[in-house]
Amino acid sequence: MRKQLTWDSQISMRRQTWIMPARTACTKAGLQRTQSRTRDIWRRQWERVQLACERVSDWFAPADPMAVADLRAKRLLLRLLSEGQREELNHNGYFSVNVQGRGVFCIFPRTVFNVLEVRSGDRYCCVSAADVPLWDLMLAQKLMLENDPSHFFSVANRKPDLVIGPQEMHQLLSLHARRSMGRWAQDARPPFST
Amino acid sequence: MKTLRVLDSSGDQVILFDDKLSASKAAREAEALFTRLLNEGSTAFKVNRGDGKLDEKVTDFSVLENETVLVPRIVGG
Repeated sequence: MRKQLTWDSQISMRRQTWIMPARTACTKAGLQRTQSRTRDIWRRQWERVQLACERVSDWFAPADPMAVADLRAKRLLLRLLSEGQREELNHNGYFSVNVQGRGVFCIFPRTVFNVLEVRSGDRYCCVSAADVPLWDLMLAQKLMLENDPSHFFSVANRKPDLVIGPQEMHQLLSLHARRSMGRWAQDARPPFST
Repeated sequence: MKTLRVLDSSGDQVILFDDKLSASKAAREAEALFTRLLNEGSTAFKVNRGDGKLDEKVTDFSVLENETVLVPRIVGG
């Protein structure tokens, strides 16, 4: 007849029969003990929690001020452009402005020599004395060209080195715009290709 | 309520003021800022005028419309 074992005696027996030999074997085999492996698991879990907390804090932390300013300026520009100019900017990456008595000028998203006279191919450079985002500069150039062109041309520097035909001009404009906007299409061919 | 937008490094700085209360502190501060910036070489434009009206250069604070953009002084690049 089997002897009725108490809980303590059962634990003790199992400890002697299974756990101690298993620990000895593990130690001989160079394996970590159960306790340290559990600690490693908890450590890894804690690291994951800390990483998640960092991600959450990054999400709630204020974004890069330059990026915020850029986004704000772009929103303002898009709101103040006419319907046609907005479509042009979205599709081509630049927009054109009709200057009374002077013809059409294209404004590209660049900081220097970004105003192009379509008829002559001349480029103009006129920047803000204050440090403003690129989209604010484009808005300033648009407002000046449309409403105060004499002041714009009195201060802008001119570079007359881009004189090409209308077909090439269109290709070049699209190419410049794609590069400037960082949306280089895979199927885009360089201008003047036959 | 009228809006002044001053283009700066943060995108734009917005100043709201009530034109009906010309003696109010906000209106007086807006007028002082407008005058100071124009004297420093900035240019003001009436924008977003509605009814298909085109933007327009403005130099007088009393004729401002709903929204005005103040462009900092421009220089040749």
